[in-house]
Amino acid sequence: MIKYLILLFLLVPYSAQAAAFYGDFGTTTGGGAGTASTTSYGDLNQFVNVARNPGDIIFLRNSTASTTNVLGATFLSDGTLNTPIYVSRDLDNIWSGFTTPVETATPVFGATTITLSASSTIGTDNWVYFGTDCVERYNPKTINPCALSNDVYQVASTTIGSANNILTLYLPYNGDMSGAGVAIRNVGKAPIIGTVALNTIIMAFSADDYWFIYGLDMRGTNAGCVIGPSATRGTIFNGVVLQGNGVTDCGVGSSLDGSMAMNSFRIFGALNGFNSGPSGGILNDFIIDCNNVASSIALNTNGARTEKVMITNGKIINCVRESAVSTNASASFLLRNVQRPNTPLVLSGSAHNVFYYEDDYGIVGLNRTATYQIQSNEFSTTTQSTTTVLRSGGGPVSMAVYPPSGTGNTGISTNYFPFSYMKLLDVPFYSDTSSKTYTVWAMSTSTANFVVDPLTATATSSSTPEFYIECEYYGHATNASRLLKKSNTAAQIDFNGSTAWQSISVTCQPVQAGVNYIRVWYAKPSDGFNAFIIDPTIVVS
Amino acid sequence: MSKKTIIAGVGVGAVALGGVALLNRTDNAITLENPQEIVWVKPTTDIGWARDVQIESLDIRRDATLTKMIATHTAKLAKEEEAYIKYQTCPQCVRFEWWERLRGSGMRGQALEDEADAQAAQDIRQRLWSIEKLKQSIERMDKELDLRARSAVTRNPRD
Repeated sequence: MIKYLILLFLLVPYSAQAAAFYGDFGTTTGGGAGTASTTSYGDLNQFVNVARNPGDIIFLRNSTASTTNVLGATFLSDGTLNTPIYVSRDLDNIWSGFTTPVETATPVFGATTITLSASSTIGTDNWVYFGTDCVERYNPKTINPCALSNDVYQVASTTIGSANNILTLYLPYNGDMSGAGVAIRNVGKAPIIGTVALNTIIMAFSADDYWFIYGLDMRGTNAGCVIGPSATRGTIFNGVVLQGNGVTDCGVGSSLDGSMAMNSFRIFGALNGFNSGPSGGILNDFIIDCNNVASSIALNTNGARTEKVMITNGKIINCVRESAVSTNASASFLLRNVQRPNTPLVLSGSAHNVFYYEDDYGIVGLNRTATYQIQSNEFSTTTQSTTTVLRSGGGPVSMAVYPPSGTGNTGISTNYFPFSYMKLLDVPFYSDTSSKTYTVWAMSTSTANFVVDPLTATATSSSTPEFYIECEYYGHATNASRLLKKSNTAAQIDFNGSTAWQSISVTCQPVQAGVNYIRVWYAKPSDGFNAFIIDPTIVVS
Repeated sequence: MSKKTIIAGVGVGAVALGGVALLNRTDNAITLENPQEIVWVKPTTDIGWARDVQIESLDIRRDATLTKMIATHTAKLAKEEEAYIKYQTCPQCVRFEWWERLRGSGMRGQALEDEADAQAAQDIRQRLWSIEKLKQSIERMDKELDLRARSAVTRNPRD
């Protein structure tokens, strides 16, 4: 689990003209001037509804809740790229409510279960940090660095094991502590805004940029989602919990901007984890738990102008569908180390949406790509890494290819380059000006997989072979113009007659030294299962 | 000084867009003389202003900070007014975007139509609120600087 320790405390963004404010949802007096912890605001709107300066901070008292007469927060000002406006729960013990349990911990990096030295005195949903992962050093000009590094963890449960006492966290521990006897610090529960039955958007952004939101537990069931970040740029949500009641609600919605990020967050019980988004940005270290809500979707980008989304180090559980993508979208998703239901993907969308999975299911080395072109295919993926079948003398990993079996918008062919093709490999090689041959090897595990072999020479009605390797290289002595050469020799692949490894190759000689791009394309319309294996290690000779 | 805020979810009711009064206004007509979303009894005395600006903690800001905030909020106001042209001239466009989004989440039938109406109306009101509120804040900042320049207030800035 990657730890995003961004800055030490001396390097936390700081604005000389910033002002500190204080909020306490537990105040019963309607809120004070907000300029001291003893005269705190009673609700978040008192801070966000009025003009603020980049760098301004509101510190929110822990273990408090705003659950009655809740008006969703609407934002007025913008931060800047280098100095956002901060909303942060207290990590500096400003209100003197933190406690140090007598029991100590044995943290293990990447684990959610923490062994304790004695029975736990820490209640569920409290947040804790371990040892020196965090330091309480209140400074009205900066937030605590742990709000950036996400080193405070929400307790999911405590149990008494047969031999040891166990503390379970929602998200894996990614701090620096190890070994036994590590002190625990309980900072209390997150400040809560709303209830799961409240029909209100809890945070409604409207072109409000560069806000940093840390450590809130926000609950609502509005169809506009708990957080409605419409057209907001550069806003970061760290350590937030979003909860719905699964009626018509969603965690985050309405066109997340491509520069938005969410780290160390949890979405629970919503119909859609993300609705009409994310359209771009970064999601890291998270759990989306749909709580078995009927028709629930973890990532529903339908309706969004989706671009590129990086989704890393997370878990999707108890959702009916992992994702749904707009038929009009042309999006790419990278999912790295995302644990998700071990069932075939249920995708919808267009052929132009591509999902890249790295360390899929949290399994080291299991890499896949998938597109909407897959419908009822058993494996529901396009390519998948495998070590089950390896070529002798070849690479350490093979790639299993499962071509789509559909027609129309869900199949492949040589009719419409590049959209109707599968690009299996795209590898840069630095080359001098000598002639080189690039070879890729492939095999089918069964001759029954293919009725007709893929054409390795161009057919009369086609523009390219159905299965070929190409070399793009410098073709001019001085400028950057490139030539493209494809393999084009008939009858090189005999999948319906042999399970041996077979090859296709291309030879090219650049005029200038530089990078050659070697690509392997496949576009044979399905006539059956058509699965095969390629060795992604290209042989150069 | 009371402040009327919006964003109460569907609590605002399923407002049919045809009933939204702002449809016939031009963007230049959004003034604080006739605000629709904020409630503000503008002060008429220096003492009144000196108290009013404290709602936004402007009394604790240095002069340089206030000057900078006036510039940034004026720039944002221009951006919001430009963006509001779409909301004002084509509320149906806003509604359709919501309708599409909600339909994508699985909503159908009358529930979809009602929710699209409500979310669009709320969205339009929020945009209008932003414009009015920015104007109010800028006027308060200007007034705070004016009070200081005339020595009508003595402040202890601490930002």
